[in-house]
Amino acid sequence: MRQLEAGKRLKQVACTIILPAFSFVIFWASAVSAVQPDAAHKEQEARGQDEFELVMSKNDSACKPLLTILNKYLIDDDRIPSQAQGEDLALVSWEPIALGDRVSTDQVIEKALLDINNDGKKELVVRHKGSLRSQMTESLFIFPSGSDVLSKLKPGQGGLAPLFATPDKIDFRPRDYVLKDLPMPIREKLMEDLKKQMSELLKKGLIKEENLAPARIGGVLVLQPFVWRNSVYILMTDLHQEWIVISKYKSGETLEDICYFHGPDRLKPE
Amino acid sequence: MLTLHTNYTLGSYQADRDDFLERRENLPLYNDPTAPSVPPHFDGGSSIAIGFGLDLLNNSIASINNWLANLGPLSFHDEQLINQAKALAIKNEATLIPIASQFELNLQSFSNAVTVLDAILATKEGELNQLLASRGIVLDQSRERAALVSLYFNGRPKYNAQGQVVSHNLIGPNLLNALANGNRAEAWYEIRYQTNRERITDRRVAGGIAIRRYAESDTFGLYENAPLTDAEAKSIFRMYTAHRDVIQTYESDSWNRKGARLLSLRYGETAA
Repeated sequence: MRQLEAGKRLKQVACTIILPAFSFVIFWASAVSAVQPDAAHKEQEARGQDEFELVMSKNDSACKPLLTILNKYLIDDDRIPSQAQGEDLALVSWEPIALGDRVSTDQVIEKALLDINNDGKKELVVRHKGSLRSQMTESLFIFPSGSDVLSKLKPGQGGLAPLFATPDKIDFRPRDYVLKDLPMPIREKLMEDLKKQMSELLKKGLIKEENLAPARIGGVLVLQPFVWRNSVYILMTDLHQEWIVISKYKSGETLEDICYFHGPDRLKPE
Repeated sequence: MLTLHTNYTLGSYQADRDDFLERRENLPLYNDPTAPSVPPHFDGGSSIAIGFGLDLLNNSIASINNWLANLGPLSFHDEQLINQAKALAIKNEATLIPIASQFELNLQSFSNAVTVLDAILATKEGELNQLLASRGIVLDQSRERAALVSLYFNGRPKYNAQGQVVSHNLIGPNLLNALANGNRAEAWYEIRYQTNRERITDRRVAGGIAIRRYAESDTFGLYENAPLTDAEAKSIFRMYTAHRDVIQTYESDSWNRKGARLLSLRYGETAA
């Protein structure tokens, strides 16, 4: 009788303590297992949010593989690094030009011979990096391969005038570069968002709608020519790196945009 | 007590100081001294500037008008533009470039831009004096002072209710201590390695800041303007021993290396 009662008690204890405890353990384990994939998913999602998206492509055989390269390297860098080079991709070797002005450290001038306009002949390309509010912004100046322009450059103020005088250049200062080939739905969405942000300015007539562009790069620029499967392209972006443009240089100041990549603004607010 | 350098490249303190800042604040304008127009421009980050680093969104209208002097004051239209731009939630090329293009303000010439820079620097020099005087430091016109003026110009002061400068984010207690103690090596270290917080907080701009800090510390100088003494050599060695790890970490940082690489290119060496 006593044994029976003890058995009942044990059952009661099991029901009131052990079973709930066991259920809790099961619940906890399932909760943890549910949380872990969720955390992994969130991490993956966060990585995804950090990545670039291809939003315009005129040449998938270049833009799609380049998207993979940008997502591998440009999340932490401002240009394609040398380790990204491979069978299809080669970077340009730049040779520094010394002007004999060893005092200042505010600008860098480099040269390379490359067929920047893909016409079968190499051109002399001069890359200028100069300081704008402490950050280095870049421009490219293009000359025939036999040009003597470098011998005309001098150190000091105004000494680079022969460089800047060429009509063949990629130099957006003080202007900017508008992404003119955005697909219409994306253009409309971006424009709508921008107009919302600028609504007060538009309402007060301080700016006009025609001053707005849905996407542009400007300010402090990175201009990186590179060779992709025997054609020269130029990667163009700015300090915010929200947009990366891959273009082909034609002539004068004309570029043909081939791919647009979009990512988050990577410049942290002050 | 520092033995100051007064061997100016361009013949005077003001000429060297201005040249240093002009090149770093707006090299495109510096390289184009006959520019017929000097309008406001998007600064690449989150502001609009004009000329040689007159920031239109991070200074008060009163200060801007004071510096514009004979060229100013700002029109009501431009004041509205500035206030609207300051209120924007997103400040980037898409929002600020269209605003920069609508200003009535135009400095019109290189020489006007220099005049405005000198007006800003007159204010900054006075504020730097206040900051230095708070630690009993007097620093005469010299290359060392030009380096500190650049640092002061590039950072942000804090003011008390009376409008006096009480602190500065780039000329902090350690640098002031070093200057007060006449410890040149320690001051050089502070300028070069302890004033680039972007290395941690925003690596995208760290390389550019590193270049400026290298140039400022070079201008300040690691050595006195006198024959090297045992005491000075020991002071430099002491500084290096105390901060070796920080220096090595900084110099090996990939973004700072970019800055260093640009410098080595500038000096005609082979790229790393």
